[in-house]
Amino acid sequence: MEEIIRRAAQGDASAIAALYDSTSRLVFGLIVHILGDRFAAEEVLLDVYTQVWCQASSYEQQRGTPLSWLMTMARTRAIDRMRSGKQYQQRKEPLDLAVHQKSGEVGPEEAAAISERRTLVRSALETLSPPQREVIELAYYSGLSHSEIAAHLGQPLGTVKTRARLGMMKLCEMLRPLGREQKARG
Amino acid sequence: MNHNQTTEETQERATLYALGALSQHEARAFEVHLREGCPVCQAEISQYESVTGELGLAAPAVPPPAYLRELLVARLEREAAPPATAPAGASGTPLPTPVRAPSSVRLYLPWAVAACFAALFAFSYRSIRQIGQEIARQQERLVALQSEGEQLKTTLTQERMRVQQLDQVRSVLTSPGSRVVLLAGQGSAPSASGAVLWDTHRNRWLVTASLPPPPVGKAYQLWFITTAQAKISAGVIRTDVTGQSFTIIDVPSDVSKQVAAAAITLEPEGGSEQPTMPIYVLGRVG
Ligand SMILES: [Zn+2]
Repeated sequence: MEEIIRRAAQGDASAIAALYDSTSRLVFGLIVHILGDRFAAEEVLLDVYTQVWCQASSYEQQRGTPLSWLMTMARTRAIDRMRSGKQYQQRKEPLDLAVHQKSGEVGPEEAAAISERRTLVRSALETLSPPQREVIELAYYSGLSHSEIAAHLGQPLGTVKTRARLGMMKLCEMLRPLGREQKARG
Repeated sequence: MNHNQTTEETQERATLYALGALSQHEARAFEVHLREGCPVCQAEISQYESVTGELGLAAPAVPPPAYLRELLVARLEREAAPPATAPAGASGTPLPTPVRAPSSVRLYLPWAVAACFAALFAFSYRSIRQIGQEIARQQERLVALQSEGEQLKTTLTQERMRVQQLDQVRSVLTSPGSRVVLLAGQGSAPSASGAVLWDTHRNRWLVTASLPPPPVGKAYQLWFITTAQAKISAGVIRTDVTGQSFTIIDVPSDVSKQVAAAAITLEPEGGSEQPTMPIYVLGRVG
């Protein structure tokens, strides 16, 4: 995938198409989950890959793998879109890891490595206590700030911050080997 | 001031930042702190950001509709700017190239008309391109979403009509000897407006107007007003539900020589011989 980004940075548009083919299901899934509106999600999806095209040359300086760079970009744009929407209404539906485990299976073009990572991320989320997971999902998928989360849950701000911290540290611990593996594969 | 060790507080701030859950003010302050080079917070943030980078993978994958890929490829081709020269963060559609009115047209136009004209013109260019894209998209959707077929067909037809209208507007605007007559809202409807694009070659008027939606049983009628103040019906014009109208009228050649103004009145459905109701918009042929 690094190779694809390098080609895109050199102005090779077919690289973006290749990247799209291997990742658009994941990226679209994330955007749809955040926005809950397929038509808006379609526009954001196009914007994300256009942005990749424009910013591929600055990828080197970014942290993380190309896929996490892409997913972060998609998440940011989707949240921005949600906030700019006239009917600014955050979705607060929890991720249903169990139900979607199978239906979320992606096409054959998805590399085995990505599939492995997805499984790991899902199981990492499942190891969190439900309140920790809830706080992390409200922040990441619904774009709520700590005080909005506290208000939404009717919990003190300190509690929300502690849940976020403990949850993230747990995820960090669970996902760390994954990051290393990915880097080694380069 | 740099931290010299990890504390619950530094962890909390870095995790919330990575999750995008700090308030704007707190996030900016934290970014300043990172830029100042605190090694503790930098190490933490890179750790947590690699986690948030992966979090999105937990969302169920959804295959996007096939036409999006075509649209993406088309967009990339259009942007065609090598990414190296594109300004950082640039995205979306490029601005339409400003188009000048041909000088033969400009001669006729007072400056205010010219400005409106230019806006209309730029609009038509950009829209035709965007609508073309939209049509491709709508067509794909028709296939993909049978259940919404009927509704989308209507939209598609409307969009096609808009493209045709804009094309006609453009062809008049670019032909030499075209004239623009602005129609201004009158006492009964000050916010109404319109314009006549007069193709003097083909003796044809393209009339666009934005009027209050007509009451039931009423319709708008366009009038040629001659230099002798005679009012000759140019026919009933149709509006959509929002009061937008786009009408093409062939001007009889004897009328075209003596027309001094154009007006739109509200009349009983079917039209009147002579205007019976107040004038909604009026414009003089300069
Ligand atoms: Zn620090």
